Amino acid sequence: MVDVPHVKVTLDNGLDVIVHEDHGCPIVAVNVWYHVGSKNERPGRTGFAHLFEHLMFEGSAHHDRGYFRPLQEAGGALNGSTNADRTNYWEVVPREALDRALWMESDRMGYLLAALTQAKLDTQRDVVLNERRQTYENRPYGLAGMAMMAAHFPAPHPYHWPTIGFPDDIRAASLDDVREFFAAYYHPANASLSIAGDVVAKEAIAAADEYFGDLPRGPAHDAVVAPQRQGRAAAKLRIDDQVELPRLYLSWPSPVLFGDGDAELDLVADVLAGGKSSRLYRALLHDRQMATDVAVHQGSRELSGLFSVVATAAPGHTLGEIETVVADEIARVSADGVTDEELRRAWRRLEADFAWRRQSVGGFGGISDQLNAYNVFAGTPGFFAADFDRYMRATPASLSGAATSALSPDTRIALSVVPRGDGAAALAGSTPLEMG
Amino acid sequence: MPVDRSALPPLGEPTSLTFPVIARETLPGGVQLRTVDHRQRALVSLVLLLRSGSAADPRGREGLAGLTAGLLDEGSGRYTALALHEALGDIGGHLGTDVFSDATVLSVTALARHAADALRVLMEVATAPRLDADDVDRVRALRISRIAQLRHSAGTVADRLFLRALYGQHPYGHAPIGTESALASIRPEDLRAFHATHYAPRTWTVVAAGGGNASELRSIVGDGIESLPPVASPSVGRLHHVSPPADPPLPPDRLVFVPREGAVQSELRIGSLGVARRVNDYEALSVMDTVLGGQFASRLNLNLRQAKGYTYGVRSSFDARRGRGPFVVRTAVAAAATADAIREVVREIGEIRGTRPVTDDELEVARSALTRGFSRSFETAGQVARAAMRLAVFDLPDDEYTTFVPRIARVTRDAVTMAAERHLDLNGLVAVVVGPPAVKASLVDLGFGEPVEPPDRLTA
Repeated sequence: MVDVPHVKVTLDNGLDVIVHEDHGCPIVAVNVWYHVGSKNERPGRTGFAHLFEHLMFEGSAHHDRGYFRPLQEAGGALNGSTNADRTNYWEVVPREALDRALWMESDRMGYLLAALTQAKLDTQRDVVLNERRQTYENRPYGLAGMAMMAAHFPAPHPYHWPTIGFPDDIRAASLDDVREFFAAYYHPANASLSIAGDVVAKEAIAAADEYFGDLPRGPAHDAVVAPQRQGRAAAKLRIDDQVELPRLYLSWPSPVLFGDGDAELDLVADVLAGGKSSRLYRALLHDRQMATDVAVHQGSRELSGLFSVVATAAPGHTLGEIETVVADEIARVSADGVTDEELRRAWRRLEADFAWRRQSVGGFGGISDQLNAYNVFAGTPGFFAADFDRYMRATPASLSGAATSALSPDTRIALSVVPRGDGAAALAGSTPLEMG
Repeated sequence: MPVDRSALPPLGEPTSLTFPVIARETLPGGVQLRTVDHRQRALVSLVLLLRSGSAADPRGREGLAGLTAGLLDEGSGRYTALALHEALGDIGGHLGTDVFSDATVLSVTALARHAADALRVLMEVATAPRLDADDVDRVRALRISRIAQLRHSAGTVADRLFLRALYGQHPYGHAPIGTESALASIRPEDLRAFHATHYAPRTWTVVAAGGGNASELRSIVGDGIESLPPVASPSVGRLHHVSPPADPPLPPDRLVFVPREGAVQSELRIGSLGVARRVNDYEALSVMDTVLGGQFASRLNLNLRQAKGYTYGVRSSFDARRGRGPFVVRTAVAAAATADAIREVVREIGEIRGTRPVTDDELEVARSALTRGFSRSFETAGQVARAAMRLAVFDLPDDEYTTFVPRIARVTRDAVTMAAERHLDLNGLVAVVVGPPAVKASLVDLGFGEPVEPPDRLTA
């Protein structure tokens, strides 16, 4: 019941095409992944993969009048996003607009550069700088995430820089950079197309072949390899920000996506902070009332994961108190694992989550996006059941093992984000960071 | 055969959406039950609508509806808070308690095989919250901390101040979380009284969807509700005909400025009093707003983002409520572009009212976007349940969704321009700017009068 029926073919030019039929609603989702993200950037041009994503919406050779209009006219919704590992683009349209969506996606995959101009690049550079201000610089605690990644992954590790990039690098991007990037990464052999919804698989595959089949395959590129870790010691860091309450970010390097211990740490995160019966919610918010929120996350990616615990101090309480409670609880999970009841509830929530994720064919996280994610990261779109199985195979002992191996005090970075002028609110011994 | 790239593929005939059947009944005790047939098998969505939200907060008790809803899962009937959340975990359940201006929506989504347990949890939290003093104090403290934290979120400060500037003391003038001083004054008996008045089962509309078998779901939910013990509640005469709040007076201050030291952007909110959901030209207004700022390829976004690069994005919206909700343009712009961005927004609002009315092409694109895009809103069981719920919130007719497409298709250019003239009030425009202190001087000659700095930000 966890599986999502689908058909996959690879076109002669290397483009993977995946189709899932669902006739419940007269809509169809088109989703394209390019296996390129900010980890493929070079120092001095950080933020480029994302800036490039913006240019993909500015028109292509045969339709140079903006990407949104013809698809919104068709009743479609559309968007795209970039992270360290991949860039995705999607449309959800009524079924009568499938051809138009495929035409538009294929035109920008094949013929973007002819429509590229300096003026478009200049405007989108300003848009992206404003996105950076709005999402990170002008937002409370907005710089914490990138500070954690930078601290855990020293240069030249490709996770060292944030996907949004550094402002000076964004400003430095040139038309030549755009052309090189397009030539290196935007072509069928580095892409995966999925189509889900009110379509007939055979017809959808034929349509995909019609629109994408004559695009040139494009060059292969080497996978990015993570540099050997340098046995980095634990650290305590501090950011002074325009915030009301101090917030603590504890984080550890953790298993890669689908790696040993990745699923276990997802379950550990759920036991620690999934819902109001979780251990840390009860300890920090209910029983001792020393925090106003707590969240735990195993964020796993292709080159490494990052396990994080984030909690904000309630007025009158300190980050030190919170740190003690969290450290104790993690030590307990490492030593004793979790109870059978905790694991059972985590499984139920997981089952509901898998069902939840099968509700929508399109958009971020919809079925079409998941088919591409599995295809690109696990090598097959039919990975739903295997993914689910990773969790069902977990035991209290394997959770304890994964926690013991990943969540060691020796690799932990503790970042305190404190109100400006109140440096003493940070954990004792924290080094201040300058966040430009 | 190579693809013809000389022209975009034409769109096929529009697909008509067959809206799922909604079965309606009135249960003994007055509960309105709606069961929606939906193919979603693995999950059920249960939604309980109360037609009272933050607009029902008594003066001086702003935040009461929100605090009441926030306490429902902190111990109810047979459950302690811990037991309740363990029970939710056991059924793969998620509980939502959302407070809007005109409604409170309680919802449980859970694995379909646990539908009966999901209903039990929903009934417990709706009918029997304990509202113990310790829990009230704890949850209140969390909310007061939240308000303090939000002082530093420029966007939230702008949203709050915009509502306050537009509505003043009107029931729509505050956010559901309320204000620090009002929250501090709320006593457990206020919460009990609010619950007794506004959570009485005979005011409920319950919508159930999913699970793959509507009749089975109907009997689980119907039986569960019918077996509730009768609740003694004060008589509320206006049960299913809650009057919308009257219009507020014209705002005294038209330009509110909040200096934010070190800010790299200005958060802008520009708007005026909008419409009630049952306004008679809602369709023409929807088309007008789509052209003005309702989607990416809108006049505002193509101008401020795509042509000028001032912002990551700008949107306009009419928040149509039971009474007249706000019309607002929301954006965040580079600090140096603050005054120019406000000028452009005001210019676009003015032009669509007549000097540059909607063109045939814009009309066609907007109508097509709304009609062809309609089915996207009814894909999941949760979406369909909430759509059924909105009929009850706004007293809309049963065939609202089946007649939507033809009603939009009939909208003409003249009707759109008339809707713009009627509902975009240039003289009633209010602007809020949260930005670096240096931009204040640039705001004086925008036609809004002198910028006024609010005396406080904490209770904004």
